[in-house]
Amino acid sequence: MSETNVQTLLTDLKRAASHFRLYGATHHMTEVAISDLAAAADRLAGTARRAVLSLIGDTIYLDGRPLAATSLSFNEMLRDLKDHGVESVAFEAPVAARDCAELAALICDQGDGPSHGSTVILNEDDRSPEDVPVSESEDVRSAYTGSIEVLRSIGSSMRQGTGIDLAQSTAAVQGLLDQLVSQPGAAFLLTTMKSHHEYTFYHSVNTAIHSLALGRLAGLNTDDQLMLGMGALLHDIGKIGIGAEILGKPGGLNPSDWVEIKRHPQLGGEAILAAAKQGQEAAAIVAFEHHLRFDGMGYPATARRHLSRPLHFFSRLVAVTDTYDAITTRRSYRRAETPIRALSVLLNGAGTTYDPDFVHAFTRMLGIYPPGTLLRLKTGSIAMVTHPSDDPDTPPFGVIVADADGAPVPHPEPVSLEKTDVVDQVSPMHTSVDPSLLLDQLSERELLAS
Amino acid sequence: MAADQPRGIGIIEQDDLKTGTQALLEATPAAVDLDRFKTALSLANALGSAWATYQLYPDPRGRVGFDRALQDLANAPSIDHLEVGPQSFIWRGSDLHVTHAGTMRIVDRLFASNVAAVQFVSSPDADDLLNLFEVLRQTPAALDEQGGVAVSLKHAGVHSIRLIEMQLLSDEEEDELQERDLTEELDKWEVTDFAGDPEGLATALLDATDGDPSALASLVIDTYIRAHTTIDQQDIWNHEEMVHTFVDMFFFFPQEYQAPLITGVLARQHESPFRTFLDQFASHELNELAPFLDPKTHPLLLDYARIATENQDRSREIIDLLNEVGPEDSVDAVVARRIESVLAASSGDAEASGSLALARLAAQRPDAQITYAAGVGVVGRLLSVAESEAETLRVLRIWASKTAQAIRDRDADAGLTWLQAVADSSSLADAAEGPASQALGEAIDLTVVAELAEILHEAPDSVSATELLRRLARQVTEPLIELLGREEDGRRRRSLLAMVVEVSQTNPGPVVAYLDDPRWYLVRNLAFVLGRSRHPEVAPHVLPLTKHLDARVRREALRAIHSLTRYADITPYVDGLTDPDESVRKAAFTVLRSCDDRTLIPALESILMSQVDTDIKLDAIMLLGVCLIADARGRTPLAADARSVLERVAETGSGGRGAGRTVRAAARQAIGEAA
Repeated sequence: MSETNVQTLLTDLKRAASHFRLYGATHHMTEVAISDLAAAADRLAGTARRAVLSLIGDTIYLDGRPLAATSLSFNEMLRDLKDHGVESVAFEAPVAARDCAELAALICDQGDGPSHGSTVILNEDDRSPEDVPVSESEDVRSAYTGSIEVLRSIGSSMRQGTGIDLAQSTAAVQGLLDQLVSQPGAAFLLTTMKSHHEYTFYHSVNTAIHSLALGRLAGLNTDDQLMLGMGALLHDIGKIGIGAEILGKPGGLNPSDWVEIKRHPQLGGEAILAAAKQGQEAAAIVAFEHHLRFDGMGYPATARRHLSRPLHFFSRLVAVTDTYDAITTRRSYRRAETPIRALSVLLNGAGTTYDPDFVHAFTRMLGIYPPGTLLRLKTGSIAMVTHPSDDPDTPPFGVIVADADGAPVPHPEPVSLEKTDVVDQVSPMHTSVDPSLLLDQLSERELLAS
Repeated sequence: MAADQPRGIGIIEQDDLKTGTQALLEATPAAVDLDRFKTALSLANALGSAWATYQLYPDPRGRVGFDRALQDLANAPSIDHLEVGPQSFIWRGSDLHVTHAGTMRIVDRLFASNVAAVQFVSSPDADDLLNLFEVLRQTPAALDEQGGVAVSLKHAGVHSIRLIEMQLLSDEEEDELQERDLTEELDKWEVTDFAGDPEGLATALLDATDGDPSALASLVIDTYIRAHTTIDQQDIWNHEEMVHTFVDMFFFFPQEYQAPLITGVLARQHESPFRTFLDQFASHELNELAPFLDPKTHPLLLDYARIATENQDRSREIIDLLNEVGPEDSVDAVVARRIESVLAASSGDAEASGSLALARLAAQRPDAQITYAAGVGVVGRLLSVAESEAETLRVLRIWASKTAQAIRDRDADAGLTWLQAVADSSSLADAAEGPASQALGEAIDLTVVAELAEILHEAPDSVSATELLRRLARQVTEPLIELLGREEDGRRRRSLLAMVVEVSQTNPGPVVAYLDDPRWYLVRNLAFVLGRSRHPEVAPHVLPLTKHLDARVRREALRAIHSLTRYADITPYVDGLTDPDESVRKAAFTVLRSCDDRTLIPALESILMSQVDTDIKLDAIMLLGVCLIADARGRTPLAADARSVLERVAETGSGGRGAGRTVRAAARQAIGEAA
């Protein structure tokens, strides 16, 4: 419950900072947001009248306890706070709205933070990484958030019109690959992480994980896997150059919007090519080709005539994993589809839009019930598939995430998901499951086996 | 406050503000009465319900949610007051855990308006409630101007309810509070409080319509349109959040409410807001809704699906499933069966399809070199899709810098791959050749050329490096000349000279430009280069070098002119015969030995007649003799003229000074040898 309170507080802090930046300190909207933040801080402080959030490494700690799920979901806020010199924040109830306003002002560069004697106290906690327990999922979370961070950094450089640095992306892909090998269950589970606000970044990391897995299945050597992973991680980076007013449209795009959208493969290809060191050029191929279809259609339209040679292996692969993650993610113009429906879209497009071999290989890799699929069982409870089965005769593994009444279960239990036990799929939009929370609750062994 | 508290206005004056809440609490009986607790709970819910209805309707009177709340509030005086807690109302120290989202919203609003507690002096009527809400809608700044929220409520004429304010901020804090702007947001979207809270909006709308499905459908549609019209369409974030809130709200309604609502939306699908609404639905959600639609509505959904499919917004599968799936089927089960059937069709066995695919993919695994070349090839493809000159230039600069970097890395193969990516690209329009060359010129500086020279110095047979040199002639010539001018090591200089010779065949211009360089040795080398450039048009530029101060330059210039123009004009060579430097004369002599130009004979005779050194005259005699010998071999038509001159020289006078005698003797000898 207290972790939920932390998430509420961080959400409110983010909103308050956003309003502060947009409307200024004295605007009504800002004041309401600050009031909410103060209330959230009071709730967090609870009966102890005090709560301390410590930011150590990639992890947020509440009174010394690691909050793995929150650390992953709120990595951006963690980074924002650390960027502004915040290592810990203590809230002493009753928390004053004015002090919260100063905290919000600090993270949007409009103040120095709460002053002395405040009910919001910064950097009082002097715990070091050695003093705090390490979460079992630390490595996989670090690899995931590290990749997001790399993309943020690249995105920021692109927005500023400065050259991008791909050095970190190689390390990020290596990290993802390592985790895919050592903790495949956790890595697959993390591919169900979604972010509407940072859609492109989360989508890119998920696509990279799926691509690496499919590349390994297809027998690529390590060097090729890294090149493929790099291409997948950066495939949508050109979207940074597309205006938010287009990407965020909830309705259909007009022709001029489409013209703009369709520029992202070339913008991405160009940015990557400019930054690529020798051996990294493959990423540019993927960025440039990922919307060119298997049958030679797609875009960039004027690039089609170059298809006298087939699309590159990596591009054909990423076209599949890209589509899968996009369809199973909520976008500004559409709610998320179920994983099985995404597979169906891929299969319907096999041979025209997508390379049929990659579609079939991907389907084999994920199974009919891919990780992240929510299944209603005969018992009425809801299970989430956490890992596909390698063997067609063996059912996939999952965990029970909600009871028959739809209430979240406090301790998800691993379960083998026999086809005969499954009644139906449940839309991810209808049942709220936080994969990062599951990751914190289940061991790798539990994710892979019942 | 006890139940016998006189009814009417009960504003607590400023002096009492600090103790108002405490006074209320102290007046509360210690024992908690369960019935009264339930009443308090219903009051909290009622306030929330009324607040939510008020936000949805300009005049909520007559609306079920509002009227019911008003009825519940009739019991309010028995409860006396509700405190404003962090999440909900508090009654006698206990949180009133209510489910109504509107309650949390009014609590938030009360909190933001500095209200510590709401006291019910008597049963409020509809006007009282509406006036309370109007007061709460105001910004804290506006309320402060009126003396605070409590005073504002009093001025609004509300007697049944009074608001107890929290402690005032200190004067200093107050000073910091600036003029507050009444938010435009509230005007823009009356349900703005529900942004991002679809469940709250669903609850509010359900309450407001008292569970009537058709009333709910109408209200949702009206509210949605109202929200649409009040939000600036350019305000993407609010627009998106509003649409998402409404669409997500749909799924919080029980199924029996969804059908009438989606029917209303489908009926207006040709209007942009409703098309947007439908577009938001995942295909599986539309398919799952289909069985619950009545026979008249189902075709409307099919219409939408057809249009969406035609516009390529959705997969055609949605139509197939709309036609196939009945109420007794699970859409996902049908999809799963279809997937298995597609997989089976590809291999005869669904399970085997993946293995076969993997086997085929294994045979296609990319070769590293091919991947590299394909990666480099993206630059040509980027040029092919560039839509503006600026874009073209940008890509060309990337390409040029990549080429230069590869050379810097002494990777001639990579450099050539990069260079050819554009040079060989059929997409590169002629017009781009200029910019391409210019971009290369900016990127290929002296350091890059030095690296290229180093590659060629170490591996003169490198095909890639030689090809790079040839293709980059325009860009490397000048730097190579500079390097040539600086190089002190003879072996390296020869290597550089060979490179400049190579590039001068493509681009002699920069070489010519260096011909007036003060460094004689460089000029001599460049004369040598131009002699091998195969560009006769540069000969006029070389000609002045035959008069250069340095004999080594003059000699090389003669040779160069000969290489370039042969005997088009023999004047420089003839002049060379009389050069004060012997090596120049020898060079001229060597050139003229093979000359068959008729003007040679009179030129030589002219030398013989002039006052020059005997050695020079002897050279002229020898050349005339060569003409005679060559004639004997059938190679020159000059023999007769040469013989005639030689005979004249041989017979000129007798005796005389030694020099004249030597010349005559030489002439005679020449005639004799020819014979």
